Amino acid sequence: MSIVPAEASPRRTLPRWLLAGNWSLRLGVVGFALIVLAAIFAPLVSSFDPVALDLRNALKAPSLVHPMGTDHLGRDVFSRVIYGARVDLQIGAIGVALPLILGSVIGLAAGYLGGWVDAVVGRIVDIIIAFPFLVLVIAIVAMLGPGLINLYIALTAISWVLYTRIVRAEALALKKREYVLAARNLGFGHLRIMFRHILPNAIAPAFVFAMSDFALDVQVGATLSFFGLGAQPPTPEWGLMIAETRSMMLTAPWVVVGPGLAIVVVSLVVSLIGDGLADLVRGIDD
Amino acid sequence: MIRYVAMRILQTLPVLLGISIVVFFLVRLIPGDPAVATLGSRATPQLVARVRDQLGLDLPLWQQYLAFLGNALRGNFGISFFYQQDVWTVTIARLPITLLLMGYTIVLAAVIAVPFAFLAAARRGRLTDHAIRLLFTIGLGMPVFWSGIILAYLFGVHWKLLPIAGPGDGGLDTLVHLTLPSLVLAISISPILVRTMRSSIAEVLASDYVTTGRAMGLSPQYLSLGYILRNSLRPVITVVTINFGYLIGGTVIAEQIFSLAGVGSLLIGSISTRDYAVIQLATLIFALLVVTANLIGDLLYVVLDPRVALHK
Repeated sequence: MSIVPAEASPRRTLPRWLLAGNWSLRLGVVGFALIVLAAIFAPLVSSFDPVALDLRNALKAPSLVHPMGTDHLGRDVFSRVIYGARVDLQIGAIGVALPLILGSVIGLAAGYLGGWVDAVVGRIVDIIIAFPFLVLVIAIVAMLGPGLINLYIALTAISWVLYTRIVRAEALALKKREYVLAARNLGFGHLRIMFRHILPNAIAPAFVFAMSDFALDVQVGATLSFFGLGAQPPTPEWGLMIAETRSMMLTAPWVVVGPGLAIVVVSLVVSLIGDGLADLVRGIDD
Repeated sequence: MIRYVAMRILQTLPVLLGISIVVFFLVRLIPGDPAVATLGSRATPQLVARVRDQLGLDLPLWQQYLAFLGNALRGNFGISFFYQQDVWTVTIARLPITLLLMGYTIVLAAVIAVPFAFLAAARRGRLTDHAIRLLFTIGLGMPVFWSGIILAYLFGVHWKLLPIAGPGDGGLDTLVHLTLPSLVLAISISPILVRTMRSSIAEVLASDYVTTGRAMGLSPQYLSLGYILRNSLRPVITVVTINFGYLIGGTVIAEQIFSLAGVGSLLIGSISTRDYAVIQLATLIFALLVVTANLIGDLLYVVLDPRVALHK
């Protein structure tokens, strides 16, 4: 007969935490899932073509047919907001995923190996952090040329330092723990210790940060598109939609309300997940 | 104390050097020939050759960097092709309005954040606390360009309360003109302030000296202003310096939305005119502002709490 361990392992606490308490996480995950589903099944959610012109129906106020009204070219704002989620969520996802992978690996190496690797990485991090995030993104995209690909290059080139800082600090603390010393005495290679033993325990704070980073990236992506540096017309992208219709604001305020609200909702949902994850990580540590 | 200050200033030197390298390499990111990019594709080969020579593009990279650094230290960033004027003169002339906007924003943000943080800390875990946190999380989610447009519409067009464009005619008029852009920026950074201050105020409220003060019969008002507020204001400095880059990013957007001729709107404007030297200098100035803010923040912290310097 096997013996059931008295305390639950972290693996088992996770689903239990999802069921008990932690409203923030549950609300955030459900909200985010709904937004992602709406983006994937956009043709089912909205009944209008997001780019087809319909000038006879230009600048119509919100109604049952057009819940967010129509823009200056007669396009249904709600449909464009739903299709826009595809672009803006992609900006958030790529803007988080690439720096998260790159930054974690570099931070892991710096924290675990120490020495000159750590010194060099530390200096580079200090330098990049000295630049205001948005300013450096704008400067890099201004040089490379407008477009989403160049936006991703800029985001990756800058944001990795934020993940490096977090993972480095964790790795630095973990490498002195008994289980790591034991692994080393067993003759495991450095790569195996770094990726199999340290990384899984060092990555949680990086994931918590990734949530607020996601919201920041969506905002930065929308801001650059607003300035003409990100997505290009006629792409339905929230920042670009606001830029295109801004001059119609006086006669048809609804044209800029819809896309902006979308950004707010995504940011809110993601920060709820972030808050929930932070509680979760603290709970496991306790 | 003096040794601490000197050390702290010395520590920024490698970062300053690194910043100059990044700014130097920015122009290298331009696909193709920077001289052609500056002049446009219809420029004659002779003109391109002259500009290449002027920019020193045919020299080895390290010589180009040293020349750039030497010129930068003397404030020489070349001539702006668009303004037909010294890049340094054009950019520096726009710095005061940017700094004024940022200063005004910090004051407004503190004015908004302190009472709410106080209320949230005093009613911790209750409905008021949750409502305040939700409200400010929404504030954090609003992109500055959007909240700027919406508030400009509401305050400027709908209610006709505040001017929405330009810097005004100096003095009080300028402050009136800067109120709306500062308010927009304050809304975007006050959530971060509220979050930090809420926990620091809660900590002070639970501290022994506040309990002692209560036991001694000090009035709640006296306790709030004399002890709690003073001791919880210190995190404001930390939060503002840590998020100074975020504040600058917002300022760039707000200047553009509210037609303020600051360094931020110059940066945005120079992208379409392909004034690469201006983009370089504006980026450099903003990075220097961050470094300076961190330095001042650290020093202020020591002034407020001399124990910090002793520990180092």
